[in-house]
Amino acid sequence: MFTIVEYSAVTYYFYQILRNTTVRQIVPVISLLFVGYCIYDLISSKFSHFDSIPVAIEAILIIGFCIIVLFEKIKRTDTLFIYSTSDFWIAVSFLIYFAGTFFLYIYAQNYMNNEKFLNNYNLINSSFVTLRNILIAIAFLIKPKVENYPIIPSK
Amino acid sequence: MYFLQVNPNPDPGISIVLYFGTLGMLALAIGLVVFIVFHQRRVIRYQMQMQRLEDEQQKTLLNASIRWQEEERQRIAADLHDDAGPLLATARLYLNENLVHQDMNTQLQAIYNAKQIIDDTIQLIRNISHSLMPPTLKNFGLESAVNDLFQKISGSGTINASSRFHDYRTRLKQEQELIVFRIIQELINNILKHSNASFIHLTQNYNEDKCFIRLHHDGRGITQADYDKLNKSTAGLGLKNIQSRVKVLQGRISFEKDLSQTYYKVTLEVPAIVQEENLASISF
Repeated sequence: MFTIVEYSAVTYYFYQILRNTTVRQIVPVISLLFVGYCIYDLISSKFSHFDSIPVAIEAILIIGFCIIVLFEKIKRTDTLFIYSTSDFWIAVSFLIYFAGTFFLYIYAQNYMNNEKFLNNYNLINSSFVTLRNILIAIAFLIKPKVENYPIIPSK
Repeated sequence: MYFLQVNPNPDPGISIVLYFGTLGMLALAIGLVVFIVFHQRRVIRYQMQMQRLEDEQQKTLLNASIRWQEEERQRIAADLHDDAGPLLATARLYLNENLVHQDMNTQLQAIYNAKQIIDDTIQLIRNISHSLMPPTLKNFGLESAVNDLFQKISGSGTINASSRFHDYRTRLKQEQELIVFRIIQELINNILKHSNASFIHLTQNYNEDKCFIRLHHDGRGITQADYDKLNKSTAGLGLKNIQSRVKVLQGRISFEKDLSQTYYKVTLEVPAIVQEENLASISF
């Protein structure tokens, strides 16, 4: 359930800042398919275990969106320093968080009962959550710039 | 991802895989971010450099244009001062107040001389005016003006000049015709001054909404490389003016030597339709 909420929130934010029309058309379709799969997994597993596969797919999708957002940013010439925008820091925070916890969540379903794994899980998960929050805090500290660029139709 | 979970038994090496995988993914993510930041800075720096070069080029063209205008004004001033001025002063001498005390024959002779001088002055001023703005161009178009110009050049006897318009039923706009005529004038001037050619031939034709004007001569010409080099230097005022005008027309000009190595060719490509504000930006 948390996966669905997390994915929806993050994807909605990226959807707002993406400007490429093709990508903006693909994102809702992918999101619907993913949420559908998550609901199926939720029902079939009956809440009995960690949803490693949906989380891993979520990580891949959000890492992809982060990369698209970052590459869109570098194509624009209105900003001299890409790291002076809050969008950059938010994209980086989610990129690093999901990249860092990717393997962790993959193994989580089968190794949660292992104490040693659980210690590693807590360590790695806390570290990356902290790092993610720090980067998001940096994003909030940056003064928002009024951006008036239109949605670009893809060629 | 599924196969990573196949073995449900705890694996002591799992920690190693987990840490290495996590570090690897983290390194990739950080590497990607660093690459993006540095790439963007490089792109911006390159764009700023291009902008700087373009600004410098614009400034050079503007300076050349101003210098050309000043030289033209000086030439007109010199023509009027050195030729028209003394002629009118002489005419005035003939028509002074003492004329009324002279006998009839002397008076008639003085009036006749003054009339001759005034006629010469009128012709001189007409020539100056025509060189500034040929009336043939305005009234009959580019084809007639170019034919007229080439006839005058041929008439001097020093060089054989001919022109042929293959397909000029659709005329360019008046502003375009003026700019093209100036370019042709400048090219002809350069050929007459520097090339030592014995013939000049101009052809015109249309191809896909573009008007092509080609100038051939058998003298010493320049290639595209020479043209680019001269444009970057402070010399070559005429060529810089040509470049400015070609830019206003949103056209292209190329200089090349014919494959047979016997003559030089200048090709001017003019789009039939161009933005209005570009044509208004240059003054003649």
